[in-house]
This record gives sequence, C-alpha cells and structure tokens, in this order.
Amino acid sequence: MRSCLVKDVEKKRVYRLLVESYTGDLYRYAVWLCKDPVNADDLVQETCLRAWKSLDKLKDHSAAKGWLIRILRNEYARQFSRYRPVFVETELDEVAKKDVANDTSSEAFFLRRAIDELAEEYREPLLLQVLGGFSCEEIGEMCGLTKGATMTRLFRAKQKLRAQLEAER
Amino acid sequence: MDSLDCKRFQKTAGADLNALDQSLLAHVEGCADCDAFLKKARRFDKSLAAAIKVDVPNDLIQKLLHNADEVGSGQAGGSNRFPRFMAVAASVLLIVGASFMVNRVAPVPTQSLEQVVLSHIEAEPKMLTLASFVPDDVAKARLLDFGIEMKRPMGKVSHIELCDIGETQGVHIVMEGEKGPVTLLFLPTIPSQTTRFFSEGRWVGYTAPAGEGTLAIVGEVGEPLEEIDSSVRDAIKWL
Repeated sequence: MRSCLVKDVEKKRVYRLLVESYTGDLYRYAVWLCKDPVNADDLVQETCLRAWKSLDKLKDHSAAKGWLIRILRNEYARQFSRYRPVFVETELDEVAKKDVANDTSSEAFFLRRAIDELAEEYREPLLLQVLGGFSCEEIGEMCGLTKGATMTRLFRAKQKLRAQLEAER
Repeated sequence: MDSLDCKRFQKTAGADLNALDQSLLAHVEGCADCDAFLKKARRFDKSLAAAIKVDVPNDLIQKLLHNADEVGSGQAGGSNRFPRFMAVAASVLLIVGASFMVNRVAPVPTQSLEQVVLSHIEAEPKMLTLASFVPDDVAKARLLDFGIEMKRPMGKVSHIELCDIGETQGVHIVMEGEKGPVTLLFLPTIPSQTTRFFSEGRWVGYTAPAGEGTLAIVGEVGEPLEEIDSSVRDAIKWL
C-alpha cells in the first residue's frame, strides 16, 4: 500500500509535467494532421489518456516528447485515417472562424496551402521538425527513415515550398 | 569556391539548420554564396514557423489533467473504497474551516500552501497523539458548529479544532488512519483550482479544491490519502 501511494503520487506528478510541457506541441501537430481544431482537441485528449495509462512504460523522461508524438501519430492512424469528412455547404465567414492559425499575411497563407499540398512523405518530417523541434535522427526514428533519407525529405519539402511561394509572388 | 563543400553545406542547411557542424560553419565564413544561402534559409525557416503556428485552447491542459484524474479514480477504488476506509486504524488529522466561522478575507500568502500546511502540523505535535477519540455525536455537533454537516461517521476522530493556520483560519480534525497520523486542512479563504501533491520527510499529502476553499490532506508515506479524502467528502456536507 505504501509503495502504491508513492507510485501513484509520482505518476500524477510526471503526467502533470508532461501535460504542462507538451500539450502545445501535441495540439499544434494534431491540428495539422486533422486539419480541424475540434478533431485535434479530441486526438490530443485520446493521446494523453493513452499516455496516462501506459506511463509506466516511459523509462527515459528526456524522451517523453517523442514518446507522446508517437502515441499521437498511432492514435491518428487508428482513429482518423479512416475518417471521411461529410461535405456540407458552409458560409465563408464560418470557414474563417475555423482557421486557428495566427499569421494572416499572404505569405503565410500561401505557405500553409503549399504545406497542405505536400505529399505525406514530405509533410510529416517537415511538421515534426518545425512544430516538434525534433532532430533529423529523431524524425528518422519516428518515421522509420535513415538520417540521410530524413535530411533529403526535409530538403526537398522546403525546396518545394520555396518554389511554390516564388510562383505565387 | 569548393563546390563539394558548397553542395554539402547547402544540402544540410536546406534541410536542418541545427545539423550544421563546425566544418560547415567554418566553410560559410569564407563562401559568399553559402553565406547568402544560409541567410535565406534562416529567413525561410522563420516564415515557416510563423505560418504554421497555431493557438492552443486555454482549457486544454485542464481537460487533460481532469481526464487522467477521472480514469485514475475509476481504477483506484470503486465500491470497496468506503469499507476499506472504515476498516483502517491509523491517525487522521483533519482541519476543516467553516465559511461563517472564520475570517473571510484571504491573506497575502508569505509561504507556499504546502509549507503552511506542513508547518502547522509540525507546530502542533500533540494533535498527532491518539490517546482518545471523539464520540460520533460529539464530532457531529462540533463539525456543525463549524458549518459542516456530518451525514455519517467519518472514522475514528481524535481531534476537531478551529486553528490559526498560517495567516488564516481553518478546522483541524485528527482521525485514525492506516499508517499513522494524517492531516486534512480545510482552508475556506484560500481558493485552489487544481490538486497539488507534495512530500517532506515522513509526510506525503496534497491540497485540493473543496467548496470555495482548499482541503489539504497529509499522512505518513503509504497512507491511502485519496481513499480517506473521498470517504470524508462522502461523509460530510459543507453548509
């Protein structure tokens, strides 16, 4: 009983630290995966519940961010990859309300659109780098790529975005 | 210009600016083309980060903590919580302050709440002795004086006192627990939003919202504090 309580208190302390530290990164990544803030909110909640339930498996706390992102990606693949949006007629100003991004410049608009149009194999490493701040090694580990292949994908992703941005100007 | 170095530099900088090693950084100092490439890459990465920045909902962290609490409490006990609590024979010190009995002006805290709670326990060692217990009907009447209705017995209560706790007042109740003395402090003038855990020496505990105030519960390491807290909350009603 004694060790159970200490373990439980410690588990809650670690979970709180993880949530306070990484919710922003998880949510931003989820918004880009789901392309919808409501689904992103659900995805992050589901991710954190799974993390809570399997917190004992996290042996190295310094690797917590990557661990959480992996849970989120798996959960997204499990839940949302089969999701097919229902198309309904919506007023344009309603669409604007769903845009949760901050930068309203035309460059940012074109960049967001260009990222959306990137093939998944380029978009995912790019988002992990820019939103998650992960190194090429870490991204490679998450995506099942070598460091060299990850660098190539990041280089090409940015090259494509730059080219599209130039074309829009 | 060393074209091989330029290719290696631009391929690396174009993918990940943090991956530039010392040799590549040395190369850029003497290469105008790569220097221009680096500046462009930095500008682009900055624009990219700004473009994909997303505001995080203010209440998301609270939702995530709350969800875990719900799952945690669901796994922790169920229907056997109360009987387990009633069977325990340890010491519980509960400090409960009734809203109408105490100063309603919240003081400016000079210590953390955890420090206030622990200092109060350390300052009153006699409260931790369990020489005798307060009969249920006496406990019920005394709690009622403090604005708390005792709907059913809480367990073996040894002390119920109104105390000065830090710079405010609260009710201090001592009960028997499983491992030894446990402290619960109800501080009606100190609001709290979340549960905060702490430990020091032989004590573990936490503070949690209770009505408009805070309930602090402290016991010896190993004491099933959350079960006791839950049972006490079931047994009483703040008036």
